[in-house]
Amino acid sequence: MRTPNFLKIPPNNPEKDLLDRCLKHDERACFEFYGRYKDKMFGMCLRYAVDHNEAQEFLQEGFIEVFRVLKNYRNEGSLEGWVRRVILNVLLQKLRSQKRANDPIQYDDDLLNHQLEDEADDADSTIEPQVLMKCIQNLPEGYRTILNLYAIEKWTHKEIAEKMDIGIGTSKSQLNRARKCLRKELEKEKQVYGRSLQERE
Amino acid sequence: MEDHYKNGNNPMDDMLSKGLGDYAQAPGDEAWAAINAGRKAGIASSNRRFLILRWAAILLLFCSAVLAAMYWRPIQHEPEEYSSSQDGIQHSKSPLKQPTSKDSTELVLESTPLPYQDESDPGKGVESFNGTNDPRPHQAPEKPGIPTRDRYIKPTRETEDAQEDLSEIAINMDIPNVQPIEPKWKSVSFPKWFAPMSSTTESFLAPHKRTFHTYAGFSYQDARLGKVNYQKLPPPDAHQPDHELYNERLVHSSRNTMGVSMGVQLANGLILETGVYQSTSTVTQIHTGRFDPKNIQKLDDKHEYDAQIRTAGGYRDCQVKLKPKQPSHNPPKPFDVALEKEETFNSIDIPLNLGYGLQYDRWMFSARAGADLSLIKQKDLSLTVSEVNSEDYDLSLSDIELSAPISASFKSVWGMHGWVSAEYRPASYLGVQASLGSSLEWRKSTSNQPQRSWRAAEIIVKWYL
Repeated sequence: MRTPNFLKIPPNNPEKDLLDRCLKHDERACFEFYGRYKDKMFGMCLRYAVDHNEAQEFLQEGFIEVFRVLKNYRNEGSLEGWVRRVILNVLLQKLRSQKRANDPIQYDDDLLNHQLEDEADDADSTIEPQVLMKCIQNLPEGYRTILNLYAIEKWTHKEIAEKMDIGIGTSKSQLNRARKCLRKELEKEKQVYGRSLQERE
Repeated sequence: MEDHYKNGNNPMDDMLSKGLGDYAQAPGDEAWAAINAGRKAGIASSNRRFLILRWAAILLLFCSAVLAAMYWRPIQHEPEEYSSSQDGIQHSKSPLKQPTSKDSTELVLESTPLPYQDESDPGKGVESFNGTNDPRPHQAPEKPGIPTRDRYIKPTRETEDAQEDLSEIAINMDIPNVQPIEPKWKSVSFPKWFAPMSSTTESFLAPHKRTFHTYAGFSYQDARLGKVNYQKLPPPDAHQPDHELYNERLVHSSRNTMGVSMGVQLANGLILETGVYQSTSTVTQIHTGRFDPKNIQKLDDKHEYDAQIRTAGGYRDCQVKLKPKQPSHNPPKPFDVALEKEETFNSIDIPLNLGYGLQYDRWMFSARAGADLSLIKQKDLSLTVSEVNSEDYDLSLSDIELSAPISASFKSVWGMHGWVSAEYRPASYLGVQASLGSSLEWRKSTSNQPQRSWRAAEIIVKWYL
């Protein structure tokens, strides 16, 4: 027989305790909460930002918003996922307000004349995350945002189009260009990396 | 193409997802300081907003309560003079001098302890003149003055006389147990902020230091019928109908009014207001009466009864046609009948109001009264038989016919009205005013039309020019 909800004894949930204290504006609890998620969230912000400073700006505004709307968290899904969504929304809004993400992207198509099908052969999964991050940050902002949303956040083109206020076709074409562009950046990094190895030797 | 490489099927996407999906890096220490500062600022802002909303709600409730109390308070009789029998002072041997209107002590004498009473102990002075002790131990102080809100005023000859009279009354009283006389009228002392408009408007209306403000506004009123007073007069044409259906019971009433108002608000708080309004009102009433079948006019397919009812446009004759369930030429027994009457009116109203307002910063509380001229036209009058207390008739086949069509002309009616209002001004050029009030359609006594009173609520959006 199913136990009625009101008879269920709530388990001792440290996360809930932390949330409750945060909702009472306990500064220590807020700092603890921030400490739990700051590294992962900063990693996410770095992917969307052009540099460290901008990423920190995203993180700050994102966490301020998280604390502001924390009372709205309904215990549905993981708290980390919820925090991530809030911060992502904040940074996307900021990117949109800066009107950089949707600006027409000027990129030399001659550099991107590789066929998409070839990418599979050269994709190197052993690239250091720091190098990958640097390549991502070197991408134009529109490419970077769409590549992040599609490849890492697993959004669909429809969701991206709605959120970024662009057409689905634009989202698809920018994703393709972003991939090509990233590939170019990776090649450049490989050359630099190879040269530095040679110099060391 | 997209579906082929959908979300991670592309090797580059996989590489990105694996390489950077869980990428973590510590931000600088200064990030927390900024977040904490932003968090605290957000809390303060939220608290401020909450406080503003809370005070606004409290103020609104207070204003509503005051307005409702003023609106719904039953008419109070004026307090009796304190020489009434309830106080037992009617035994006094010398008549009490009635304070005159120019006597400034009129309120004070009732709202403050009597001169022979010890202010620190109200009961003390009373006990000592209960007839058992020295009857005259409590002489009035040499120069007592008259206590008022503003401390003391210099006693005049009249006030001194009044005091002497009171002392004499107290001394000669033959009362075994006199209870301390409770003040009947509290002296009204407004808080400092509730000062007249001339002094306080400057804070909010500083850029517009003018002696008057004119405004134009859009008004909407919703009203319900309060009372209908029919004249106790016979119909003007002395026509005695066979059946009179004068017992009215109000079922429903509504009046919606919209219009443009304009006014002048003087710096000393006076308000002069007028406007042009258009209103539509509907009143539904049930009339009951008794039909005597001996007065049946026709006895064919339907039995026809002549009847007369009162309407807002005067007495109206009508023929009530009732279908018998079984064809018979034998009239049935007397029976009760109920008719439902629905009247609709259109009117154009031109009010002229004079009022007084007290303003505190963005709020203004005002009372206005005035007269209006209404041009009323009866738009529609419908009658239906709602109930027949007879088993001989089929109600569903009943019918009523008016003997004459309704008049399509406008009739002028004077009215009086009063309003109490609270106004909030979010900006110096804008005001939102909510009011409660009542109005009385004032008709000549010789008219056979009823006097009607309405209870109304009004909201005006004002633009200050």
